[in-house]
Amino acid sequence: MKLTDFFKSPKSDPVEANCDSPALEARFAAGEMTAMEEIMAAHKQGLYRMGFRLFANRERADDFFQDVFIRIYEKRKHYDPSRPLKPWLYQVAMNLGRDQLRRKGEIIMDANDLPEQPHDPQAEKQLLKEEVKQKVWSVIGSMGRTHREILALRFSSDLSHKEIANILNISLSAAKVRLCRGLRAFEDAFRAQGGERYVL
Amino acid sequence: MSCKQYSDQWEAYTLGLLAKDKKSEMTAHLETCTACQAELRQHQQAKDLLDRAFVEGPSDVLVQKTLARLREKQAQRSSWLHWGMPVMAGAAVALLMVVIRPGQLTQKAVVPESMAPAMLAMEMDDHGEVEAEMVMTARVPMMKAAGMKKEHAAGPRQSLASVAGKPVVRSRPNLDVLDIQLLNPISDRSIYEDLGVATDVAKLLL
Repeated sequence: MKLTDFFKSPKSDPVEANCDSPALEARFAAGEMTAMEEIMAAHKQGLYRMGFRLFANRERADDFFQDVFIRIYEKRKHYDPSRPLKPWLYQVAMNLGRDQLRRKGEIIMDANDLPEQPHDPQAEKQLLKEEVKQKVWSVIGSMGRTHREILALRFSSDLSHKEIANILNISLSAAKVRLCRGLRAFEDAFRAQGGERYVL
Repeated sequence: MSCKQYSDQWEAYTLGLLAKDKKSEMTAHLETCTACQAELRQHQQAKDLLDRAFVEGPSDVLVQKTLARLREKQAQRSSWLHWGMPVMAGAAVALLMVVIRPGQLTQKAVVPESMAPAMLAMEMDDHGEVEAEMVMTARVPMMKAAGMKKEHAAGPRQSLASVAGKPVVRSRPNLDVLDIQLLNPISDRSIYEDLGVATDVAKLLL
C-alpha cells in the first residue's frame, strides 16, 4: 500500500503567502475588521489544524478556533507591525492552546471523534483512508503535550524550524531534537496501538 | 561510517534537519546499506502519515460564527470609546468636586486649586475591562518639599522621588511650587508626608 495515495491535500493555505503585506499588518494593528477577515481567510486552515492536532478533538478544535481569533484580535496591541505576522499568530495560538490544555486537561481521542470528510463515491477506498486517518488521530491524541505541540506546529503549517523554535521559546537545536523525538514517539505509539499493520 | 553511527539521525534526515554535508554523507551510505534504507523508510512513512492525515479546514459555519464574534467584540469597543470614556471622565471630575470641599485643607499645604484629575490612557484591556490611569496633581510650596528632599529638589524637571521604582513626582522649572503628579493610587501615606504634603491632603490622595 502506498502512503502517497492516501490523502490528497495542499499542505498550506493557498492565499497564505500573500497575507503578510505591510499594509495588512498595519491595518491589523489598528484593529480594522477587514484585516481580521483577511488574516482569517489566510490562516484559518493552519490554525484550525493546529488546534485539532493539539486537542485531537473536533469540538475542542472548534472552540479553540473561535477563541484563538478573539485572542488575536485582543492581543493586536502587543503586535509589532515591523515583524512578520504569521509566527506571531501561531505564537498567540500556541500560548492559548497551552493554557487550555493546562486548564481543561488533555482529552484522549476516541475513534468517533473525527472530523467529517466529504462523501467519496469510491466507498471502499475512502473507508481505507478513513481507517488509517482515524488511527493517526487516535495515536496523536494519546501522545504527551510536548510531542503534540511540536508536531502541531511542524505539520499544520509551513513555519520554518527557526520560527517554530521562537514560538516555543527554545533554541533551534532544541527544537530539532524535540521534533525528532516527536516523530519517533509517534512511530512508537503508532506501532504500539496496532498501526503497524497499515504501513510501518 | 557504520550504521550504528547513523541510527539516531535518520529522523533528522527525514525531517530535513541536517546540514548539507551530513545529508550527502548519509545519502551515500544509503546506497549500500539495506538496513538503513529500511529504517529510513519507516521514518518517511511516519512523516507521510503526519503530513497527509490532515483535517479539513474549519466549516463555513464556524468561520462565520467566529467573524460574528469578532464584529461583536469590535462593536463593544467602539461603543465604549464613544460613550463610556466621556461618561467615566465626567463622573471622575464630579466625584472629586464632591470629595474636595473648601475648608477641608489646612494652610500647611496649598493643594486643591491645582489639584485636578485627568483620565489618561483609558482603554479596554484584553478581557474587555476598563484600564484607566488617573493622574492627580498636587501643588505644594517648594520649601516644604525641598525641606524634606533637598538633595532631589536641586534642579528643574528633576524627579524628586520614586515609589517602588515608579517615578511619581516631578519638579517644574518654576521653583516656587512643585507639581506633584501621583500616578495610580499610592497607599503609603508616609510618602506624601515625606514629600511635605500635609496629612490632610495625604488623606485625600489615598
